[in-house]
Amino acid sequence: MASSRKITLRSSDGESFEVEEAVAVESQTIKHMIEDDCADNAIPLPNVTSKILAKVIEYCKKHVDASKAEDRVNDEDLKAWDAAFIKVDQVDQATLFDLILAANYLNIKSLLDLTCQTVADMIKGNLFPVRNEWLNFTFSIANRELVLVCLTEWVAHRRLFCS
Amino acid sequence: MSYDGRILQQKREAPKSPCQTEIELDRFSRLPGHIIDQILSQLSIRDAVRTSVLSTKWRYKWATLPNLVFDNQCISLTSQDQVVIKSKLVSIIDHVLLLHNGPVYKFRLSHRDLVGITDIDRWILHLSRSPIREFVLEIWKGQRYKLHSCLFSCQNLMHLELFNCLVRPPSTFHGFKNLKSLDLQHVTMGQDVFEHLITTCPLLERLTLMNFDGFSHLNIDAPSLLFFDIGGVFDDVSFINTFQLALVSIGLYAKDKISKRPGCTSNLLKFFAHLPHIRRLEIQSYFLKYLAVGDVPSKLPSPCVDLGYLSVRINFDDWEENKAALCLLRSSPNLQELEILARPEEGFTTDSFVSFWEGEHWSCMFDQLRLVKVSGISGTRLELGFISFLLLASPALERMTMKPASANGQFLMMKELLRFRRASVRAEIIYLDP
Repeated sequence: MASSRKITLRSSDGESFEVEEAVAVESQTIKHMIEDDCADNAIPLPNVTSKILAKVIEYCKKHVDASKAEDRVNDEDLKAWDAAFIKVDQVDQATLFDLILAANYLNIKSLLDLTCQTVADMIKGNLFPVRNEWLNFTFSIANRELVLVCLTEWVAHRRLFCS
Repeated sequence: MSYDGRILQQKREAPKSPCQTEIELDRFSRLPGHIIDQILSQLSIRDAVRTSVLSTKWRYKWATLPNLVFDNQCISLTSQDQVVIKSKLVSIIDHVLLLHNGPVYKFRLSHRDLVGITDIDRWILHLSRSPIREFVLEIWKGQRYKLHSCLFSCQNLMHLELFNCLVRPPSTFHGFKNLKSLDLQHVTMGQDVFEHLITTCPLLERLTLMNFDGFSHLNIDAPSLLFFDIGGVFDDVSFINTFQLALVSIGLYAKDKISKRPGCTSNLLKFFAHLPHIRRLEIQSYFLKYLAVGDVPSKLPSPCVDLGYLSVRINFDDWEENKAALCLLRSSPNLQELEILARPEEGFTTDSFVSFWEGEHWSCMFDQLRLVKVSGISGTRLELGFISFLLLASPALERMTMKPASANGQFLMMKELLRFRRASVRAEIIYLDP
């Protein structure tokens, strides 16, 4: 491929990242900015820190490379790479939160889907096991008095006391 | 309150590190609403509702979920009486709908124990007050469920999928103005109801019909239709104004209704009259026999230039079907993939036309045919003649796969196949085991 244009992205803390245009336009937001001709100088991204931007660029680069004919990576391998990329002990939850917001702001659907699925899996893992039918919870939440009464069961969750 | 005692009695294991878990969950609760919806949509409705006990902030997050799916994952499975499961399911759906807050855009109900209950009427009434876009209802067993008339007033519907239902709209029904996709399987509806439904859904792009009854004349007047997939028993099928239809798959499951009317307009001509842009066609079960009724032309008046994929189930012992297949092949110059499924039937003799396909390659040339799959053959002279015809008419052939119907006579068949001349030097012929 002929030399593709390089786009400069500037994070909120002033750091500049130079990336190929193909990688940058994984973000629909950046793509529209380029199309609207706002990309002569660096594109400022006031909502994304350098730490997060670096990770987003790493993700986009991998996905762009994966779809190129020469290095064609099959779906299974790409999924494995995604899983490793987002693995909870490698990415702390604060970073995961920021990644979600960045993927939303930059409009990168696949990254947003990946991060949301990760949070969903975390939530699933955190839902403590309850023996009774979950139907009872809908009743309990509907009635505030009932929630207070069964607070003795939720002692560990002190947050429920604060409204 | 009667619930006090029960809830207090339940035992619960404390989570491992409660404070840390809370902080993280609290952080994620600050995400924008549409992202929380996306996260919760990845969970089953059961888990999504359970998030309401994680913290005060999560209490009502689930209640604004726009998509509600009630399926077999709804209830934790224990070997219980079907009646008990059914009443639990009804109770759960009632409470979720009652506690839900905000519009419901997508609703899917498909649980194996949901049999013929009138509670569905109540839920449809509730949902019809939302701008619902997708509605899927599957009644796994039992009698057809008669759809409540409120469903027919949901003008935002874009996708409707029904399994085992009876469709009888009220007289005030004037169609679904936004419906793009319709999937009806094991449904009963009158002929006039069917035609009225199709005509009054101007944006309909996808239509799937499987195993229907109550109507047998498929008059498809759908100018926006792109995809058409049917399998069932019907008398005839005709397209009107379907100039954009690109993918068609038709299976006629019974042949007794196919009327032999020699000397009348060919069904082939009528069928293809309104399909100028057809790209992918699957002719299954007895549909080729239906197409072969009437005076089969040698080729269609205008060729199917866009047809790239063709799959045909054919009875090689039926002369009419062979004629119909030849007409179709002669009219598909740009075919890229072809699949032939041979289905022998009793009561036919082929002695008079065994050499039907020999020499036919002069009337056809498939410049772009790369892939051919043939299955169910047993090595009759006619079948081998057909394969030889294909090999001679396809200069660009890359692969032909053959799967015989049984192990009988394989060796003889292979000996014959080895002899055949091929127009394509690159053609691989792969012989699969039966």
